[in-house]
Amino acid sequence: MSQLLLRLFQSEHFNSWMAIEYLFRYPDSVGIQHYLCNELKKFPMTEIEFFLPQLCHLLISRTTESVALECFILENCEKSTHMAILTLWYLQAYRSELSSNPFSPTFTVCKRVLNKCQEIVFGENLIEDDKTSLINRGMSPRQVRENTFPALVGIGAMLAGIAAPMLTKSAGQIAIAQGRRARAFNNTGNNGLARRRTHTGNVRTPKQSEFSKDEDSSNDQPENPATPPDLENNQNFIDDENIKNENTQNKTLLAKAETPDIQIVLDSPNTQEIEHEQISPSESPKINGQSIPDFIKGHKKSLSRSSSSSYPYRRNGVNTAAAFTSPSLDDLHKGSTSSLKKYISKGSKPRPQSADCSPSSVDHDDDDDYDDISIYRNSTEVSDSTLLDELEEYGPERQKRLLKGNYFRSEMQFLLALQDISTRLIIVPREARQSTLRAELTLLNHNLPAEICIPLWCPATTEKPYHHRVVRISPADAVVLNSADRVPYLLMVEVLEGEMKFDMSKLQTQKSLKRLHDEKKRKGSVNITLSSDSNKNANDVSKNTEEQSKEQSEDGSGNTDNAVIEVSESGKTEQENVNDKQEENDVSKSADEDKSSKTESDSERPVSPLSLSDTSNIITPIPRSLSTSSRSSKRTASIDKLPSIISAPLASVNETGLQELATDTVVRSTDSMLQPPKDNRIPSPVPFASYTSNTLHASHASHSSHVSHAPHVPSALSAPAVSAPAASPASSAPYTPTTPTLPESNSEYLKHVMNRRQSNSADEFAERMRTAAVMLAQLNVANHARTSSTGEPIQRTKADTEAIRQKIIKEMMCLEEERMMKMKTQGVTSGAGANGGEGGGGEMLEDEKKILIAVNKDDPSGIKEIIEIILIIPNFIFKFYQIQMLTFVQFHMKIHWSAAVFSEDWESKRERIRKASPYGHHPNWRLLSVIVKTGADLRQEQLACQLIREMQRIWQLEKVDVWVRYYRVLVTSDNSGLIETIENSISIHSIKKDAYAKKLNEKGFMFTLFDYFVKTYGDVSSDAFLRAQDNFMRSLAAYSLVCYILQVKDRHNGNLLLDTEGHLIHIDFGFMLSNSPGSVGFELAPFKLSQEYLDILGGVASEKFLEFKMLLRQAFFALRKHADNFVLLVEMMSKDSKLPCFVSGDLTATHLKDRFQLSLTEPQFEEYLEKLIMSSCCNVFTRLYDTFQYYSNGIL
Amino acid sequence: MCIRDRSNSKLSEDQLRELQRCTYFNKNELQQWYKGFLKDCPTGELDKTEFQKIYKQFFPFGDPSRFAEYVFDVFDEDKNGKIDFKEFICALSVTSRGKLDEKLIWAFQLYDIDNDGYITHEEMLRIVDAIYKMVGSMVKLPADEDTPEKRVNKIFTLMDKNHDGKLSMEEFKEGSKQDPTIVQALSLYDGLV
Repeated sequence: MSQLLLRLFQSEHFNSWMAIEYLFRYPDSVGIQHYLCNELKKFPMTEIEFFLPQLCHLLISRTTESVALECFILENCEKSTHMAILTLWYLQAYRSELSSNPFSPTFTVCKRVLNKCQEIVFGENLIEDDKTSLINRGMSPRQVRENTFPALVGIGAMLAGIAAPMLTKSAGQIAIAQGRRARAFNNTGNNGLARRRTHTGNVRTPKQSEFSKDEDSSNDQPENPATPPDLENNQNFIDDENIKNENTQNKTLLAKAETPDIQIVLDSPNTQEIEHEQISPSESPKINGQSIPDFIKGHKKSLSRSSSSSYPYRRNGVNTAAAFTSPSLDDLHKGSTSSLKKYISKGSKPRPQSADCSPSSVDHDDDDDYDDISIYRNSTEVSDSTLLDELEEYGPERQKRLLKGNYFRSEMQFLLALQDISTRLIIVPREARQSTLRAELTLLNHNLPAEICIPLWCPATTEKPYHHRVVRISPADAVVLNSADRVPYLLMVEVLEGEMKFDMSKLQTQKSLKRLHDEKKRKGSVNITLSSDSNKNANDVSKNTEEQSKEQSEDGSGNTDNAVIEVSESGKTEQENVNDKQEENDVSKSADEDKSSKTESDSERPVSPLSLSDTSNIITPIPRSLSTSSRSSKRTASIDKLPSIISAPLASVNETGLQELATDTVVRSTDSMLQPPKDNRIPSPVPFASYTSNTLHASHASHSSHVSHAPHVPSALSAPAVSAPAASPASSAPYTPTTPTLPESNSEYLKHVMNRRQSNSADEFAERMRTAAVMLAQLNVANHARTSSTGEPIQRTKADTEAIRQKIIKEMMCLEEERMMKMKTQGVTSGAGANGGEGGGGEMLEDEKKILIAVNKDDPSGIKEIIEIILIIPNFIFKFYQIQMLTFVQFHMKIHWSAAVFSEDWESKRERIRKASPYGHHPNWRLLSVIVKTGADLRQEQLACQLIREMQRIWQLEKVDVWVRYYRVLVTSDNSGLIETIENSISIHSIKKDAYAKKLNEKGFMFTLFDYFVKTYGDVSSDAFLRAQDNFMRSLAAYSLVCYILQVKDRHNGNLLLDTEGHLIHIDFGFMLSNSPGSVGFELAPFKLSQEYLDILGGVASEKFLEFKMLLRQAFFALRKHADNFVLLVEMMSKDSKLPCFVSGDLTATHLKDRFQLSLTEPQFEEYLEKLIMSSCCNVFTRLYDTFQYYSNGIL
Repeated sequence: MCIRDRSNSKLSEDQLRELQRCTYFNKNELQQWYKGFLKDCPTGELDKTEFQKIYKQFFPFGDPSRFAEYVFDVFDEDKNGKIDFKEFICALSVTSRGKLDEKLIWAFQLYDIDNDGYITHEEMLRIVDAIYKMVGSMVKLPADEDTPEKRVNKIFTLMDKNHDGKLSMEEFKEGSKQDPTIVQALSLYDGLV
């Protein structure tokens, strides 16, 4: 039997499908698992990537003796960055799904592999200063553990080595891999360490190294316990072992953890102290032992609180800041900028630390922050501070690692940032969401371009690792897609193809950097690239970047000294200082400059091409205004080198808690003051500065809102009230220097705002809007947190909160109004910066109106009425639906107005965006359109698209000319992800709605798709119509099969799209396989083949219909031939799956198989198919469902 | 040596001392491995059938039972039909931390089936055949050793210096050292345990 198996595996029919299938069918045979995984390595990575969801599910859902699959997956993660990040996301999804039962073996597996995966993603690039640790790392092989059976086999294999060395090689590797398997009982860490220590000197043989990659490197640790990587490894090492032990062990290590911090900043000795201060606390939480419950907690928080408690003890007073922050952006930015900029943001920004008010984050020792975020944060800080120097120092392999690590962190941060936006939008009132989204994206843009790609869209492969780089998101073209309680949104992401590569040689790096710099010089709007010192002397582009970075840090430290002196002199300062004479002069001066430049490059941002050396030369006269920055500015100011003109120095810095905020802006103003503007172009705002300060608001927001809007509430921690609008104008608004004071009442404030209206740049507006949104979010969270937090002195009453809430909302509305006004008065151009401030203003305004209309239309109150109406309609049919109704409503909201989004022709939209984009002139510029979703598990959608994709592949293979369009679904957690949009398409519902609105139907008649076809393509005999008809027919055939085989339900017109060529496209696979809307299957037809479809084809008697039937048959035969593929994909996913489409459990796959009717002979099958088609034709249930949808959700 | 004291899963001081004497492991390592051993073989010993089953797990495509039997006999030093912890750990000690000569001396036992101090052509053929049966066609072999006979002939050409049709311990040791692939195979566990 097993020999037959081997013969099969070695036959020419063997392919990746077969490998996957037998991997699935023989979980218990260690040998088979290893053999197959070994075989799988021979297939191209793209093929493996296709199976990744299945492989991950198999890994998690089936605990087996064999470690083969685990090794295989991790090895792929090592090889392919996309693989790594996709796997990481999948596993995260599983982890949170399984977290309810943290002691289950599946959770253990998940956690272990996730940890290893994280190590690959984040851990490898930590800096090890001493060469010895590197050597040790290389030399200490990953030893086997106390596994008897593999040892017995391994010894046997070795014995056989004399007679058959070949055998030892292959079998020995398996034995060793199995031998490394972690043992649950093996927890006496010290013993283990001691044992290992005795043998570190051994040289490992080449064949061992291959496997050792897959394993955690538990052994590095004793040799070099102080460096971060080891700490990380330690996590892995103890992974499977006793938790208690874990904690103790970690605590010991924690004691030694200080050392690396100093090492990290060796390159910039002057900032060492600062760095040390800041990093060391952040280091600690990560290495703290994480008990399982904490672990979960940490993860759960990770989304909403993407910032983990980084510096718990550092800033007194700031600590209690509330949870709802979005620091990830800062990280993103940090992760992708040069070391210098990182210093700035780090120093000036009070990290959103310990976001929640909960005491847990302050309490260090049981900190829960072993979530991914802390890991990447951790490594971010460590690595990019010296990234450039490191690149210089290490060989290509090391460089690659660093670049990769940087990519991973940026990537994660970017996606988190996108999700955070969606989460924050939920709390924002609907009317303001669109604006808030644009504001958020405008700010996000400041962190772009960054070393980011969008994995599924990115064409890079292991063989050709040229990633695209995300350079910009067009804020004006982003659209909020409201649903009942979630806020997905549509994004237009601009990328440059083939811009990123991790193993670039020095030369290439330099080249690409140079290009980017050149571009910046020209455009003055780019601010970030991996190693771009955007603040470097533009004339000096060709200069070696590494050198520069060093230079800069040195300059920075020089600056420090001055700043420190100055600060200590002034000590505590009050807001009067802000209005210091000298500053005022400076400000107005620069403001003038600013104004003049503003017209031409309004929101054009960063990269002031100022030379750094200039700055440092004139650095001596430090203006008094620096003093505003208060004590804390000391460390910040020192590093901040960004020369920039800040016309509006910080407003209300009087609150102690605000120090950091003050710092940020003031530092900049300092620099700007030092730097006499050279020409009009120079004084552009510093983008991330503003972002930074904004984040600060985030952390303060709950307090801020307090002060600014509800001054009567006593707040000990009250942070800077108006911080929001006042502080943010780091972005160039010529501020009236005299009014940094806090407006006492809302109305006054508004007046104040209106007064400044003229000066509001897009950025400023964006920030204020965003701040308001963040405040609102914070208010909600803080409210919850308050109850639990003991350290909070204030007890805010509900009424207070509500009052504040109302005020914030009111303010947002005012902002919106103000913006609209501005648009009208100042016209399109002023709002539209080349950098994507507000994009194409005029159109946007239009768009926005549409959206507002759409939003209002979708008001659920209307639906309630409809629901009532429904109750009058035959009860017996609809009674099942009463409960489901609300779900429906959620689903359909988004679809209702997708018309507004898709109606613009994709090509013209692309060209429009391209023209507006500063990157548009690049030949490799591409536009991606994605929907960011949170609050929904996209794995089912992902599965559906995977199955459709396989159908497409088979049809292409079998040369059946039917048409489907699968779309990419990127799962980033169990409740978030990205979905590809389908260009040039519009939902049938929208088509009809639009038609009725325009009264295109003949009086008293329905407007059918046939009418639409005629209206759009012309007379039935016209070429255009015939082409569209043919397209429709081919897509209808394909999707009919998709719907029948996958039992896709909920097929109302909101879920059906038509593209401009006439193709039918199905979307939204929330109901398929075994679940359907309602408790009974309502849509009983095999597939939807309504009268209007038949009309398009020309009726059941037409030739086209015959062709349709023939095509359908061909297509079905093709699928039938490969039915096993579908059954396999589904079956592999079904075990212990929590996806709704698997409610029938194991039967799901069985039923799927049954639908292929494999037992029927060909004639029998033809008969069966005929029946399927006929029962679908104008099926009464189909009609009923459409009618129901019309009455329940207004879907036409 | 009796290691049946399962009331606690730890080795006694006496046992430890004894094992330390005859292995390269220290106390902690011995205790660890003992724990692992008991986990896998709760009875504290392993008989031939179980041993063969383990091999079957790792070699699904062939028939490893005969080879497993030969290997079992090497482990089972006291020939009582069972492998106990001491026998296991001694074998592990030699394979992982022993010098090359030690390994070869120990490995000689496998091939010298009748234990007469020489490996005959027939003995070698039996072992190689068992190995080939175990692996099946999983491993692609070079043409000059794709049958047991070919392989045995190759081995004897390499090792049988005096052409007497059998290998002495000396010939076995020297011959093995000459073949780098064999040396590498023998270092399989070096530094890993």
